[in-house]
Amino acid sequence: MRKMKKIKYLILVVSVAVLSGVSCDVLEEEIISGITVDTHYSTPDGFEDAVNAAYERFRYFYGNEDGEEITVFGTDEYTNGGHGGAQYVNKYIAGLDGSSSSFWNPWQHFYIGINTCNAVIGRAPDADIPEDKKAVLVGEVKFLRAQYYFHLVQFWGPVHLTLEETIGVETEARRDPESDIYNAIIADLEDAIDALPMQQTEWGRITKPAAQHALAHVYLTRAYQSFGEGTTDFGRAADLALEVINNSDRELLDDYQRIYNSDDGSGGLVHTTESEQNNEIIWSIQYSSDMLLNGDGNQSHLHFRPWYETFNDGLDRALGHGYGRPWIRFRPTPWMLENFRPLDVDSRFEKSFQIVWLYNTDRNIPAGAEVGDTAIWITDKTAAEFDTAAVRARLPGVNLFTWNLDEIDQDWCLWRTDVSVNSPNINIFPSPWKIDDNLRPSLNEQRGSRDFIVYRLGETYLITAEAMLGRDGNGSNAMQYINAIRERAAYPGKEAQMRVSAAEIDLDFILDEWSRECFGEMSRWLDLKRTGKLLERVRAYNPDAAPNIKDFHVLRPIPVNQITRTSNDYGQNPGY
Amino acid sequence: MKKKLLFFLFGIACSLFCVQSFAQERTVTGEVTDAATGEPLIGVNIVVEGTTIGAISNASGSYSISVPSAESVLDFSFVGYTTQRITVGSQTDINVALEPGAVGLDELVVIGYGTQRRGSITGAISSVDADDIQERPVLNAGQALQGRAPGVVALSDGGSTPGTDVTIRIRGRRSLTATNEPLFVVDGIPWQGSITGLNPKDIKSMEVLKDASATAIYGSRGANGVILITTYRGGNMPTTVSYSGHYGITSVLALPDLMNAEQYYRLKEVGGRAFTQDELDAYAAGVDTDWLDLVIEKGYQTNHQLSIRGGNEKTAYAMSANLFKEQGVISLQDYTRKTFRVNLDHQANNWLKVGTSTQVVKGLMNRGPNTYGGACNISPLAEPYDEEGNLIFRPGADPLLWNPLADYEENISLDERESFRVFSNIFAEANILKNLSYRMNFGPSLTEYRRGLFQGSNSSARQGGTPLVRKEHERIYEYTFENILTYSLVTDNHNLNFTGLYSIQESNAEETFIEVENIPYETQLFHNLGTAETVNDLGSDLSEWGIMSVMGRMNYELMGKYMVTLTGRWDGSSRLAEGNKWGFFPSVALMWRINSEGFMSGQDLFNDLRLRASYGVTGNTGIDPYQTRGSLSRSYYNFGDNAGLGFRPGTLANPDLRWESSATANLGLDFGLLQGRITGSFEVYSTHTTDLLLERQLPITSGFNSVFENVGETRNRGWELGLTTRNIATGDFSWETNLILFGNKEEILELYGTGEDDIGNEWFIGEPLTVWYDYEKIGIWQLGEEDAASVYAQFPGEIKIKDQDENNIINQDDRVILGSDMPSLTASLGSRLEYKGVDFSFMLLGVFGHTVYNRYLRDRTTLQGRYNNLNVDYWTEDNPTNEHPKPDGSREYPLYETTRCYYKGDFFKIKNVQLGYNIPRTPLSNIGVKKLRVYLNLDTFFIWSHLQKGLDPEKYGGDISADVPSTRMYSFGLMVDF
Repeated sequence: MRKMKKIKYLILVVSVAVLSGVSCDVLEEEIISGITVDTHYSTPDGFEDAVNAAYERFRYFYGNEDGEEITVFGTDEYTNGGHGGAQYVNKYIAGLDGSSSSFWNPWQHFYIGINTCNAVIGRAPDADIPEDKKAVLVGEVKFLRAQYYFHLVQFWGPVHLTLEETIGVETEARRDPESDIYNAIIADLEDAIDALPMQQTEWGRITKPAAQHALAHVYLTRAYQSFGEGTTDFGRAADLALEVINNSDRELLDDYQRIYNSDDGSGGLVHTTESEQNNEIIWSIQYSSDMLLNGDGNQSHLHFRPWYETFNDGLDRALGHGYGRPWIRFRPTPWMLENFRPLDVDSRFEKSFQIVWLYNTDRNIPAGAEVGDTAIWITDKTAAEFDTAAVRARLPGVNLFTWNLDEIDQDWCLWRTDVSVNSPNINIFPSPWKIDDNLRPSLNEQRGSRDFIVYRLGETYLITAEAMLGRDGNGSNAMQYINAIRERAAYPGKEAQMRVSAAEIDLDFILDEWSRECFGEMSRWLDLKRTGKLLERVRAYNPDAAPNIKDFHVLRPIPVNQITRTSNDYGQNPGY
Repeated sequence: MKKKLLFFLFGIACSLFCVQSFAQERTVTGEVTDAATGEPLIGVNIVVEGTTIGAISNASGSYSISVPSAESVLDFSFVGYTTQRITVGSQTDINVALEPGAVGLDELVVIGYGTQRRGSITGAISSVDADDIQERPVLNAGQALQGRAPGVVALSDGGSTPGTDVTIRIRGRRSLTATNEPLFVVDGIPWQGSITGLNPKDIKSMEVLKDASATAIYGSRGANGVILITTYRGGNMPTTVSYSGHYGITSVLALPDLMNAEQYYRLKEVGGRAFTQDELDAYAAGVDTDWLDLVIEKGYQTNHQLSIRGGNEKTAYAMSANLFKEQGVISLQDYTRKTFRVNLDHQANNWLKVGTSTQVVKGLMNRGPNTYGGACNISPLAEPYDEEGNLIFRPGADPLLWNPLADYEENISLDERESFRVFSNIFAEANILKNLSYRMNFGPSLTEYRRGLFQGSNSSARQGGTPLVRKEHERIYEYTFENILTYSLVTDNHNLNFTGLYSIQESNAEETFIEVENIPYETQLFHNLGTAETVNDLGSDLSEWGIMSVMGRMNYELMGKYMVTLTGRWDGSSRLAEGNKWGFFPSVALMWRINSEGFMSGQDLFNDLRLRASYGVTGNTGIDPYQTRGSLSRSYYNFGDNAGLGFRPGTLANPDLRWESSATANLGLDFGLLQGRITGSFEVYSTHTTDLLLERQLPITSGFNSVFENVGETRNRGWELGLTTRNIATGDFSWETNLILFGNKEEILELYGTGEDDIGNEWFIGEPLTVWYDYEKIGIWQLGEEDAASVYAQFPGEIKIKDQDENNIINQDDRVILGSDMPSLTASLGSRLEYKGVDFSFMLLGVFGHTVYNRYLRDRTTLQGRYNNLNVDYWTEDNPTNEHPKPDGSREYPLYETTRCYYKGDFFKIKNVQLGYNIPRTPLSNIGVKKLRVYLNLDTFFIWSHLQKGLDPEKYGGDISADVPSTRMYSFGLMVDF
């Protein structure tokens, strides 16, 4: 019996010991919930996943606050509103240096995007996917890589150029000559033009016209550079842009407003599939109302909006169009608004700006006013022209403002002569319709769903005009492309007044037209830089930046993170 | 493969031993008394040396124990008495009279995979006794360690939010990016996760293992020190039912000095920030709301523990149930913990013992919205209620400033974090031969965690937007399986002890989460998520890892004077790539008991004097699973209405990753003077850590921001002094003082083998592991300095930065090291006086030599006039201060704002003051009460620091965000035994 007992315990102990002996897979590591590069990218789905990922990093630039700060601020068009931490970027004062995240974030996302592109292009030969399909996908990615580098070289000048996927640890980086970077960009875009179809089945994918437009833009930019090929480059740019205008399926819409919005059926505007996939758009960064796909979303709707809700009672932020969440980052300069005159000829001011806010809540509503009455009105007129007393009598409690420069320093004027003293009106200004986003699920939601238009045919016309002006030295050929846009912008019957003659066309006129057509679309700083007009026009038109901008500001500071993490000496741009 | 075979053979060998016949057993009984008074001693520990067979004397002092053979030696030990060793021989009845002895040199101390007499310990180990844990109102073991053990820095993770953890660092930090968390081992089983899940009232003792000799047996997880926690067990003793509990009221120590309406108005005026009509009206009407007063209340803390302990010769048990509840001074935040424990030992027969230590815990943390933050922000010109007494959701001028009082509405904003855990050790122990025993531990642990977040439309988080709901669920199953062989041989001059271990630990963690908004009805809270219109985010994950280990330890003692300990552990980890999976961690320690030498016999100054020296290597595997493999990151995109999800290269693969290893040399001196009136230990050590696991920042031009590598070296050098003095010890009056002093210096010795600093990571050779690296503020630009300021594109009233390289540009090259967050000196002083049952004790804690970053100041001194501010001295044309810059309504925060925030971190706290009374035994025994103690306790009575009032300087990492004001607690407690 005693023996039996022992055997019972013995069995227990032996089984336990054996159990422990067979647990040898304890140390084996199997990845179940994740995947690795080598296993995934060679599969058909995996290769397409990599291509999709190559697009994604542009979302961290277009419609993102950092990207907007370095393209919208510090130009002739826009100065800073009362909120936001990066006003130094606008004012060109202390703080605009390599430690600012406004530069670091675009820089890092571009390079992450480039490495993804390099992985796609480098691994393409081994990808198990039909060759014709593969060629198109590689063409898309070459376009994207060229775009990433084109952004980098314009902002920072000589930067690290690599066309190979990073496999091991790399601690060194170079500053490759700008000419080499342009050559790489041009080579990629030429390949893309060859490989891409005129249309893609999925909206938002790169097409041949997009690549042609991009290459025109690149040649136009290089033409101004010392290492560029001057009039030859201008000529190439004009030819490529004409190719898009004449031989693609893209066309100018009849109504300027329809580029950005369609009717919501109740007198308001809304961005819908219809408005976002119109025939004028060549390349837009995609955003979605499906939050699972939308990433951080297009946040422009926050940045360009004034603090309307504090400028009168009876106003609440709401989901309806025109009443979105305000971050008060970008405020028009006086010049930008004046540039739209005459307002009864050029329809683009009216089609671009919200200047009236209506009471939308009973809460604290001024005596005599009702929901739906005018709460805020920003006019372009002088007090004499507008008869403010009569308007106030008609609209109980209304808060009136003017952007007319003749009224400067008056309480109701947006402008002050002494810009060093903060005006109480710094937070109120016309709000652009093109950024409005009333499809967000909640009124404080930051992640907007509006696509961000990067290239559209209207801009191709401008590129054509600028390239022809550069090539010919006069506006005789450029004229018809400028006028095409201006006629479209005219109020019915005012087309003749909108037309300009060859003699009126110079570089400044083209830049003025560019602003009327594309203001706030994250290209202004680069347009001014490209044309060598940044310093001149900022000094002339941006009162907050004018006293501080210096020659070296035409290049952006290399982010400190890049410099300090690089084992060799990376080198800062001069002046920083 | 060889190793697998080895383990298999080991397992078989273990089982084969069991086949051996077992020696003759018999029972020894007797009585234990106090040699001085002759009174019976209750609770004396009786152990058969070299085995785990044990008994405890009962209420009449008698005991009964089974001994395997005539050669068996019985150890009789009791706190405060000198241990006696008696060889059984032919005796069956052994009566023992224990001599009172001050130094507990013969107490058994838990050392990891076994126990050892305190006087024979070769490593650096600090113990914290039950009294220190039981008598104070503490949330967790970490709080109990504060100021109680040399070399242990235990600092709060963040103020007074209920349920907040304590971060513990033993002898500084070694690793730059891997973990510096010590390993907690509860009743033999490694405890992963927050130690707040363990009921501290069940803890009988805590041992902190510090040097390599003590920690090398934990191999790859020993580098950061090991904390062994032992819980109460039963014994052969009468059943004792105990209750202990306390109730305390918490209140804020002080509130920060925020601006009132007048000061705030003036700030906006100076900063040029536009007033709204509402504000002007409120100012004219004399509105001055003290928002802090509206959100801060009194909180409370309570704890109830009911336990029952007892047993007989065969079976011993200890069971407890505990309820801990704390409500914060922000009443939306509370923490409740319920635990239940069963510790069971059963002697199945003369050679087999089985048992368990099992705890079940349910924790519920309500991390409701922190209205304190909102109250600090909101304008004093805003009013909380309208004339009818209704809440105004958007008071004041700024629509982003939601009324923090809105969050007090029922079910408007919930953040419920619930965890449930079963943690167990099930063991069996067999005496295979006379001197050889085998123990098997199986320690399963199952943790369920659920977070439910609900933010209603009118909550301050949503501000009138659609409701948002998030639900997270996590399940972690892990187990530890250990086989331990212990062999001991005791003769007159030799004492040999060998321990062998084979162990496996595996963990499997799964998590799922979903976040939605726009639910149809708010009453569903965070349930029924399928009804939501918008899915914001969802995901799930699986993470698995395993460790396999073989360990051997030998202790040898010669003539009671010379001791040597040799240990070695092989660890294999699934997280490392093939070829680098295994590491070996050896140690050696020597101890010389000087006091036992002949030449010391003539003196009576020292009653104890021991010199210890040890050297060894321990490891750190702070790598997350799958980190050696390059992985892809998900990317989110769409093409029109089609999804465009993708994968981009996410992390770089590094198959060469291996263990970070720390070599520690330790020299220790233990001493007892004047018959134990003064006892203490002094230690010096140096830890040299190589192959640092380091998240090296890379130039992003490669497409990757960082990679894990084994590069670099760090060193920690320090000293520790623990001193206990019995200042007075007469019959009725005793006075004891504990002093702990220690200092540690961290230093980075090398990074990438080039001798160069890594500025990108802010790592500097020759400096501590983390430093504050920023511009140096030298004042404010004053009027008259316009030209000098314009060189830097600055203006009078802005912060003036030192241009270190005097090149007229302020850029990254002008940043300097402004200090480190790690203290260089920690001191604590505890003292206890007793007179006729009345006791008075206190503990002081001082931490010195570090620099903190005052984030609270940064966040509350934006000087833009949108949010309320600390009432600071700011620059104006008429007030040329150098403290704070001129308010500027157009800036979200001042330029170089962070440079104002570096403060000396030194602080001093009266942590605890307690007055207690043990009611005399005689009146109580009539009503069946064995012991009754009542006490009044004051927690955090006083704080001194360089910070503004109301800010608690105690924060691991030195980043003072002061999310909740620091509190003090007055409590009343009761402990009773039946």
